[in-house]
Amino acid sequence: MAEQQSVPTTAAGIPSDAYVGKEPDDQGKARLESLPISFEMLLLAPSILTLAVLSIVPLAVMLWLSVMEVNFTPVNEQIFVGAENYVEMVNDGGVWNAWQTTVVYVGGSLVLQLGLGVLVAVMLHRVIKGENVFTSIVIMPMMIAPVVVGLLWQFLLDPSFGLYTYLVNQLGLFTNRPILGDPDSAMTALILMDTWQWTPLIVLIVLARLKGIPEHLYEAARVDGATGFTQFRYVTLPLLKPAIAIALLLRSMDLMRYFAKVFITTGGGPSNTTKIIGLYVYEQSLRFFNLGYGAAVGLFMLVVTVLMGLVFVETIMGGAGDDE
Amino acid sequence: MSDHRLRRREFIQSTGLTAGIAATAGCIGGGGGSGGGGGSTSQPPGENVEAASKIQFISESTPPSQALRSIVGRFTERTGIEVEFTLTPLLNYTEKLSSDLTSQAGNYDAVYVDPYNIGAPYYPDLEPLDGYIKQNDYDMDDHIDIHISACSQYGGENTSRALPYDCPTILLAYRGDVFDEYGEQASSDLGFQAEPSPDMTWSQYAEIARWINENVPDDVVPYGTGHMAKQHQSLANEFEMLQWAFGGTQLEGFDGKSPQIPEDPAPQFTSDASVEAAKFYTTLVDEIAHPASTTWDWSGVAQAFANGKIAMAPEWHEFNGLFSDPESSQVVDAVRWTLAPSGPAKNRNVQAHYGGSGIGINKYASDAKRKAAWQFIEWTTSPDIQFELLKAAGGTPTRRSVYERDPVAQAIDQPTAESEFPNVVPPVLEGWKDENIGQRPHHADWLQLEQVIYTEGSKMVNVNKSPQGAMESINNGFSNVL
Repeated sequence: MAEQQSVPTTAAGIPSDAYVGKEPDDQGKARLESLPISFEMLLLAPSILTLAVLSIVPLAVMLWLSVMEVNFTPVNEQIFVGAENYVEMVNDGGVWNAWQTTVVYVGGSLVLQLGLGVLVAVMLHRVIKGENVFTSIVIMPMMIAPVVVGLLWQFLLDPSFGLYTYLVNQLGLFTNRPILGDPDSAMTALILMDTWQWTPLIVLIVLARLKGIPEHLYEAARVDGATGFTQFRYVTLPLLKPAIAIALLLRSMDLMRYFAKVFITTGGGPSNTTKIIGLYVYEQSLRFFNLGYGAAVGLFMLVVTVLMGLVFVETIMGGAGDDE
Repeated sequence: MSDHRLRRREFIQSTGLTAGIAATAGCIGGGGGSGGGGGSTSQPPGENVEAASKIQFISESTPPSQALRSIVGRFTERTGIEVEFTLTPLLNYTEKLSSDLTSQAGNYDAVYVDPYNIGAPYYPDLEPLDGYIKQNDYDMDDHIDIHISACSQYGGENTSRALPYDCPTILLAYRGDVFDEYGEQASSDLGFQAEPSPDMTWSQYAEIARWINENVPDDVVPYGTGHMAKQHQSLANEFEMLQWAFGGTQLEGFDGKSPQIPEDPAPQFTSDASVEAAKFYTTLVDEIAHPASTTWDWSGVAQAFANGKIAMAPEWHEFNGLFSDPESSQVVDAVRWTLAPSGPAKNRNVQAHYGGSGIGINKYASDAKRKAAWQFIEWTTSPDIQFELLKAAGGTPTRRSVYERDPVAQAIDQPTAESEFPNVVPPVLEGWKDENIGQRPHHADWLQLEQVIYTEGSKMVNVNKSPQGAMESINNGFSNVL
C-alpha cells in the first residue's frame, strides 16, 4: 500500500496554502495601468483590428488606384499618372453636377427624416397601450430591401397605372408630365422614397434615447412652470442631441453611398437631375471600369463623408459624453 | 482614471472614419490588372483531353438563356456534361464576366458575349474558335451574315471569338385594329397610306402619330406613338437608328453598317444630318409621343404597348413573345410589325437596329473545361436547339436553315395571335438585310460613349437643352472619352 501524502493544515483544518479571502494586491491593476493602451482599448482591439484590416487594405488599394490610369480592358496598360485623376475630377462638370445633386438629395432627406423621425418618436413615446405594435408597424419599411423599395415606388408612380400618380392626377397635378420623368419632381420623389424607408431608423434611435431620460427632469420642469413645448425645447431636445448626432451620422453616410433606389427608378435621369455622387462613382468604376478615376472621385467622397460626420458630431453633440 | 481611457467622442470619430473608409471602398471595388493580351490563333484541346464533367455558363438573363436553361438537361443526358447557369441583369453580368476575364481566373467557361459590353473590350480574353470550327466541321456559313459580323468577329480580325446566339432587332410594332378602323380616314386626311409599311418615312410616322392623338378616341388608344426615351441605353439605341436614317453617324468613318471603325475616329454629332435627327427626335418625344416616354426604357414601351396605351412604337422584336401572351397583353389579336420608318438620308438606308449577341469560351478555362464548353456552345447554336428555343418563345434563330423548316416558314406569314412562333412574325429576315440594318461600332469604350448619348439625349428631350446644344455636348463628351 502506497504511503499517503500529508497536506499541511492550520488548526481549523484549512490547508495552509489555500486562499482564505485576503484582498489581492495591486499588482494586477498596476500591470493594467502599465500597458501602453487602456483596458477598454484592449477589449476593443480585436474588433478594431478586424475593421482596420478590412478597411485599410481597400483604402491602400484605392489610394494606389487613384494615382494610376487603370482601365479594366486587357488592351490597356496601367500607367502612373500622379495627380492627373484629381485634376480631371476638378475639371469634370459631371462630378460637380453630381455633388450638387447629392447636396439636394442628402440635405433634403436628412431634414425631412430628422423632423419626422423626432416627431414620430415623441408621439410613440407618449403611447401608453400598444406601443410595441405601433413601433413594429412604423419600422416595417426599414425591413424592405432598397431595390424592392425602388421597384415598389416605380410601380406606384407609373404614369399609366400607378396609384400615387392617379391620386395626384385627381388634384390636377402631373397630368402631362410623369413624376419620375420630370426634372423638377424626380428628385422630390426620390427624397420621399428614402424618407418613407429610413425615417423609422431615426425613430428607433431617438425613441431609445427618450426612454433613457429620467422622469424627474420633467417633474422639475413642470414645477418651474414649463409647458409641453418648453419641456421639449429645454429638456428633451438637449438630451436628444447625442442620439440625433448618431442618427445623422448613419443616415448621411448611407445617403451618400446607397444609390439602389436612384438606380432602379430614374437611373440618374432625367437630364442627370438625380445622378448622385455614389451612382457617378459606381458608373466610372464598375460600369466603365475607369478604376483610377473612379478611385479618385471615391476618395474625395470619403473625405467629404468623414468631414460631414465630424461636423455632425462636433456641432450637435458638442462635448457631450467626454470625461474631461 | 487612466489617461488611456477612450473618450466617447474620439471613439465615434475613429469608428466613423473607419466605417467611412470601408463604406467608400465598398463603392469602388478594388484590384485591377492588365490582361495578358491574346493571340488570334489557338488550337482546340487535343483528343487526349477528356471534356470536363461540369462547366459554368454566364449570361445576361435574356429569354433565350432562360429557355436554354429549361432544356439544358438534354445536353447533360447526351454528353454527361453538367452546365451550371449564372443568369443576371446586363450590368451585373458585365461586372462579373469582365472581372473574371481580366483576372484570368477562368471561373466561367462558356460565356454570353454581348458585343459592346464584353466582345469589343475583352475579345483578346475569348478563345479563338476557328480551330474548333474547322475540327468539328461547324457550319458557320449557315449563320446569317449580319450575325457573324456583329457578334463573332472583333478588332478587325478575321477570327471568330463567339458563335451567333441571339438577335433582338428594333423594328416597328403597331396596332392593326387602329389602322383597320381609322386607316382609311387617316390616309384620306394625310394624303398618303397611313398604315405603317416599309415605305413609310419618319416624317410621315410623326404625322400619323399626331393624327391618332387628335382623331382616335382615348378608349381605343390614347397616343399614336411611344418611345424608350428614359435616361438609359434605350434612348441611345433609338436615337442611333434615327441618326443613321437621317444620314448622320456617331463616328467619322463609321457608316452604321459594318462594326469596324478606323483608328482615332472623331465624333460626328454636329453634322447637319445629326442635328436634324436630334430636332426631329425632340419634337417626336416632346410634342407627339405619350408623355411617359421619358420614363420608359424598352420594357416600359413594351408594357405600354401591351396595355393598349400607344398605337405604334419602335421596339425590340423579341417583345412579340410578350405581346402574344394573352395574360400579359391586351393587343394579342391586334399587333402587327413592319420595318422601322426610313429616311430622309439618301446616302444610306437604316430601318432596323441590330442588338444580337454571341456565345463563346473563356480563354483562361482549363483544357478540359474548354473542350466541354465548345460542346455546349456547339449544341446551343445547332439548328435543332435554335428551333427548340424558338418554340419556347425564348430565342430567334440566327441560322438560315431554321427559317427554311416548314413550321417556321409558315409561322413567319401568320398573324401574331395565330403564329406558333411569335418571334419570327416580325420581319427580321428583311430587317437583317444589309440595305436595311444598322449596327453600332465595336469600340472598346462604346458603353461609356453610349452613356454620353443618352445623358445628353435625356437633357434634350426634357427641354433642358436645345438639340443643337445637346449634339455639341455629345461631341465634347465623345472627344473626352476617345
